[in-house]
Amino acid sequence: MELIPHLKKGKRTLSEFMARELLYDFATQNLDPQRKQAVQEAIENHPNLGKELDDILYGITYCKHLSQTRTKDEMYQKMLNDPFTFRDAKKSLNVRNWNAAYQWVAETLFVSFVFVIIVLFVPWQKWVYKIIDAKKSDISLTEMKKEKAFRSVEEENKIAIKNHIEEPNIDRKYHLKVANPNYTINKFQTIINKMGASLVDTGTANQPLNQIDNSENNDGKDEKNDISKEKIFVVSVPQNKLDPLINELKTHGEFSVINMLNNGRSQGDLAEPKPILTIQIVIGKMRVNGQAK
Amino acid sequence: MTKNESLTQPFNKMVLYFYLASLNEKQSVENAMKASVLFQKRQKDEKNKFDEEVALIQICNLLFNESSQSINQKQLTILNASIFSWPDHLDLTPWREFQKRSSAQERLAVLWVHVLEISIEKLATSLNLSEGTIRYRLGKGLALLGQLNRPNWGVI
Repeated sequence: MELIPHLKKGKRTLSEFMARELLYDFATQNLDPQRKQAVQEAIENHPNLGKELDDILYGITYCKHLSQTRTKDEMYQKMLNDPFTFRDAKKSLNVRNWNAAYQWVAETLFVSFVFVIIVLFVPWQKWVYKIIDAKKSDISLTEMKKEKAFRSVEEENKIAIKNHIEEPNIDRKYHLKVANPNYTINKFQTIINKMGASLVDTGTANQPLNQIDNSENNDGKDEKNDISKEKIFVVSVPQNKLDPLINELKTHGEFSVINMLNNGRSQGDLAEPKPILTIQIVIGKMRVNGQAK
Repeated sequence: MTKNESLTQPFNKMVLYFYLASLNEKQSVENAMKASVLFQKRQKDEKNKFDEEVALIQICNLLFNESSQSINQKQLTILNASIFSWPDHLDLTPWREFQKRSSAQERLAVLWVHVLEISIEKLATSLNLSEGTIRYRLGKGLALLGQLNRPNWGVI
């Protein structure tokens, strides 16, 4: 390529900047003759370019000298025989050679693992208790024994019978209508004794029924029917003697169970108030003044 | 010392490249071994299309970029590496100084073209750069290297 002369001198000169850019090619002799001459003229005109050219040449010479370096044969063989994969794997296991993100992940996992191990296997409870003991506070654990709420039927009956015996429950009343108003309880007492029962109140045993005033024993609910003439006797009898006693009483008169809704009075009784004998039969023994009878 | 055939072997070039690029003997050997594995693998994959110099430049450049972040200036070897047979009367002091004061682009360009004797065309093709860019870097790098080498060149 030919330089285009546009100056009056007819020749275009190369600037220092442009010459500097072409110094390497000039040193390696890669310029065409015209550029080579232009660069050479620029070097003559600018001493700095000559200095830089010398530097480039020195550098090229040094590199040529350096390129004569060889690898030692024994070292070369050693490196070839070295288990490269093992070394590479060994190096890859080194966390410091990992990427920063992978290092962070590995460190986080390691710390988490250590924390979990500490939480699971360190006996924290013992230390907590030691601290509590150090404060002199006692913790006692007691086993509360609950009573058996469920009992068998047999047990329930035994308990009920026992309670009846120790604390009788007066819950049965029978009416005995005797035909003879002169019926005395003395006769009744003989039967009772024979049955193994006992008459609690024997104060009026010898008196005829129509002469006994037992009004204080009544609750006074039905005054119209002259309840004051109703005679009430309390008899205590064992459970096994109850039925025989009732059967015996039935032979003495009209025997019936009291209907507790109207105080045991039937319509017939209300219409015809007659002296009747009310027997309260107590199953078991009745306590009177603290003594069982 | 005349040109030895061993220099043409890729592995020798790899080791020298990594050593002169980082001045770390241990890391240079490791990188060279990695590069040799990648080189052989690429040779198998590309077969007929395989270009030795292009593959060499690309593989070494890749590994150097990966390991360049971990280069510690304090770990630079002061003495010449024992794995090489150095030419007589060669002093690495200018090169060490050159490594400190030059950019990686200029240094590697000088290393590839004038030390490892790779052509500018191959280097430009491998790095996907223009030849003018390579020449520019070479001019800058060699000028600096020559300047550092000027007073003590060739003296042990």
